[in-house]
Amino acid sequence: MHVGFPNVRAAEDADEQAALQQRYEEARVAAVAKGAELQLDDFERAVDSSQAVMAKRWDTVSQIVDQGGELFKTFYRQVEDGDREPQDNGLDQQRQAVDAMLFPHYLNEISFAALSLDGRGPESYGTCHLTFRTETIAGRASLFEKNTLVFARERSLPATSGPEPGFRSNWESRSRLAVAKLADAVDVSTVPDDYPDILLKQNGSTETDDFVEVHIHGKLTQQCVESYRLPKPKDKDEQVFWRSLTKKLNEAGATERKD
Amino acid sequence: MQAIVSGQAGLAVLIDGESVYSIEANDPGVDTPRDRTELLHLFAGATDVVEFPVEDRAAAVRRLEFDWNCDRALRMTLILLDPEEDSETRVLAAECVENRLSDQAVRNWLVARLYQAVMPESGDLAGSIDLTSSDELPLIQKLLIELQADQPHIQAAVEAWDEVAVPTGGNSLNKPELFDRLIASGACYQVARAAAGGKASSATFDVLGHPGIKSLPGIGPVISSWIKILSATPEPVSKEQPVDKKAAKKQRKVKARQSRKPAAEDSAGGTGHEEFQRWEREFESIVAQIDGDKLSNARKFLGELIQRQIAEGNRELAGKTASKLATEMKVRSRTALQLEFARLAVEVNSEDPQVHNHLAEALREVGETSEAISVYRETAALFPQDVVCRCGLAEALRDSGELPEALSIYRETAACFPQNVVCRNGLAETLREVGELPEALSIYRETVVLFPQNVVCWCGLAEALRDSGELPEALSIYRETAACFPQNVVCRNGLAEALREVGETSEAIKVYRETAARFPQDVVCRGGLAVMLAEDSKFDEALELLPEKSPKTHQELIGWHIRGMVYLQKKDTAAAVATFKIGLERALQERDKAYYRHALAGAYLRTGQHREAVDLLEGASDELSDLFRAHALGELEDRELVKQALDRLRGTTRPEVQELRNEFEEVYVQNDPQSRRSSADWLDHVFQREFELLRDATRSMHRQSAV
Repeated sequence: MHVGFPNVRAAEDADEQAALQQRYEEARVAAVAKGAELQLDDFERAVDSSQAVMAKRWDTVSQIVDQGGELFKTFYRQVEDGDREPQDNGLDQQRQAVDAMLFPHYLNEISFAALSLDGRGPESYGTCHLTFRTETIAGRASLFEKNTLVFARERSLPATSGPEPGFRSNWESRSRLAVAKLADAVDVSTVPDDYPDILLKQNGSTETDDFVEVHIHGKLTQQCVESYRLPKPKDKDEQVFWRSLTKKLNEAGATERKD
Repeated sequence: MQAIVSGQAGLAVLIDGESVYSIEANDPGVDTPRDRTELLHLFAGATDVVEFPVEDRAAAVRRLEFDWNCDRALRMTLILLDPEEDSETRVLAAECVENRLSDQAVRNWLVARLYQAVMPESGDLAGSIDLTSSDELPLIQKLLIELQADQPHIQAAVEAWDEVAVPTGGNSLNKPELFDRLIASGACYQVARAAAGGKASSATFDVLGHPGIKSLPGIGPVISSWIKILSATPEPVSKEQPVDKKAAKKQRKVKARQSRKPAAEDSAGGTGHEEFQRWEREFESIVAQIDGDKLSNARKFLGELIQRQIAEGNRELAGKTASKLATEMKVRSRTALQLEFARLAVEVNSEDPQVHNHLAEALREVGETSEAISVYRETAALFPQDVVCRCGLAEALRDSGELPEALSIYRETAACFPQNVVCRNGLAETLREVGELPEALSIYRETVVLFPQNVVCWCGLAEALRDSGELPEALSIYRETAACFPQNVVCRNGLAEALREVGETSEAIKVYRETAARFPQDVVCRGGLAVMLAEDSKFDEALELLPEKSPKTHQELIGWHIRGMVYLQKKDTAAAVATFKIGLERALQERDKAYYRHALAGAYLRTGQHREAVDLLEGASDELSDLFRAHALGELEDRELVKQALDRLRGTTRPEVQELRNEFEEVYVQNDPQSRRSSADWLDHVFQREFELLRDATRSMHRQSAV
């Protein structure tokens, strides 16, 4: 019997949901107090239709599109040149810290994306943006308040303990998480055009970009992509990637976003 | 500084303390500040991420560019091969590959991957050849034509591998891991190409010679089994694929060229498998005769085998047979036979640079360094592109103390063959030897980035760090390397020595004892342990670890030297003199002779044989010789000659030599107000200091051998 994806199970834990509900209600009370209840309702409804968007650089985005192909699978396997010991610094340290906190034993299964209302992901991570079909990821996606590593660092969380409850949700509850996090940014002057920038703040740097992080369990293939933004490059290699990627994505039913 | 690099992601991240920044492969001049928390996102999905210490930004960029170019070459090739892509996209992809194929290292990386499996049905090789028929794409087209022609051989190689039984357990890799390693080393490519040339068996030597393969435990029988099974496979029939006329014509030319090559297996009247089995049986039989000291039988059988191989049209294999036997003799420390068979190999097939190199190597082993240098020089003139020969020449020059020329050859060779790890290590080691530590360190640091699986460069880096006094980093590298390469005895010995230097004596002894238990034949380990035990006054236990019979090999000479030093420490000077005398007689290389000369002179001084010490040191012009000469002449009261020897030591940079020199000047040349010369305490003090100088020299000798 399939008992659900572990990241989703963790987000649906009763303590998590209760704590999130409490944050959500407190946010709403604050909105009522400043007279922004209607605007917050409208924001919440908008976020109900938000999608997961992944921002990547050319080199990494093409892997998602290519990896289903037989040629890719035959020749693009990972070839181990030998053992690699965890290092004192860098990636492994980050991996271990996060692994222990949020994704015990399944970090390698997790892909990261951001919640978005306009098909734009955090551009500091790359200029190629893929919006995923909600139906292909909803059951295996969980959400977190923000970049998990930034969150952990801001709170100086030790690697042995996870974050306190109330900062994650399943896909269905993503708007509640957004309200709990962002109600302060919504006031009586807020209009719908402001929503995308409230939900995902592009500050030009990965240190300062702020977004609700989406964690998707399992593989993402070109069939998962609903729309894309791929800037046409000048570099010859990247032109090849662009031509190949757009063709495959179009054939898989994805559309280019130009808005 | 720590670097994280992924060719797939086209990205390097450098971590220098709190500073973290990324470099993109397509814009390597720009540093983008990053936060540690971003790393997972930046590399997400990439399966080739490597993390390693790096000297500077430039070294990280070089590694990034190489990994990125390799990855791009593969990705572009896959797009070229994909019939679902537009023709225009495929041609653009071909152009992107073509630009990269002029780099031989990238080409090697690419073919290693393309030969790992048969082209799937969805791969359009024929169409790709057609699309690359332009004169502007010669490299990729040649590669594709070969790849198409080799498909049956790739299939045969993969199927043969499926049948190979790989032993499990211990530190061995499992079968899929081993296959991954073989792919990465280019073994699949070598085997399929050799099979296509009708000589699958010849690939055995090349595959087992790869640095990433030969060190794997129990790999020899596995590779032999693979090649045997492949050789037993009937000649595969080429799968016809529709190609355009031009491509077909080129293919026919390639096949015609191949068919003109001698088909050894066919002319032998049997299958390749049978031929290989027969050769292997006969070879083992010859080795058994030698092991049983039936040398005349061995020579007779070898002569017959070689004659038959020549008669069958396979002179190359005949040469390799003799050369391989020379290598077997080297393993058995039978240097005279090693030299005999190496000479025979050159007589049999002088067109193979490998046999010349084996001969020169054998000459080095028996101490005929000048002749080895001559052979290397001649071989280098005949085969200027043979990097093994050039490196061998540089090593032989090092043996004979001609360091500037050795360095010059290494520099030149490294410039021509920047991807050759042996050359890079040799250059760094020579730089270390001449005291150019910053440059040696820089080269080692670059090399470990480029060849993270090469244990020699990691150990060399750690050694150079030890020389530079960077003991904590050296120790850390040794620990990590020993964990990664548990079967490498050199690394474990280096770790023990580094532990000793930082004062972790008990842990050093523990590592040595574990190593000695695991590698009981390793003379360096036993010598290192003996030195430590002697320092702890455990003389008998130390002596038990050292060679008892007169030394024959270079390694035994080092153990023998340590034996003499233990006697000195034990104050058994007569035994020390006898030991050093034998060692001096047996030493073949000038470097070893100098070590023994110093030690024997030191022992003579203790036994009061001052004239013998002076005679022994006659003609020697190094610092230790002058110091011991001054001591001996002082005792002989030849004040003028003492003065001359001490004058030569005036510019010494070694404080311990300077200090002793000054004391000799006061005692033997000037009027010594303290009348120290007649004092037994002063002499003991001098002997102790001389012993320390000799012990440093022993360690240096031991280290050279260990590295």
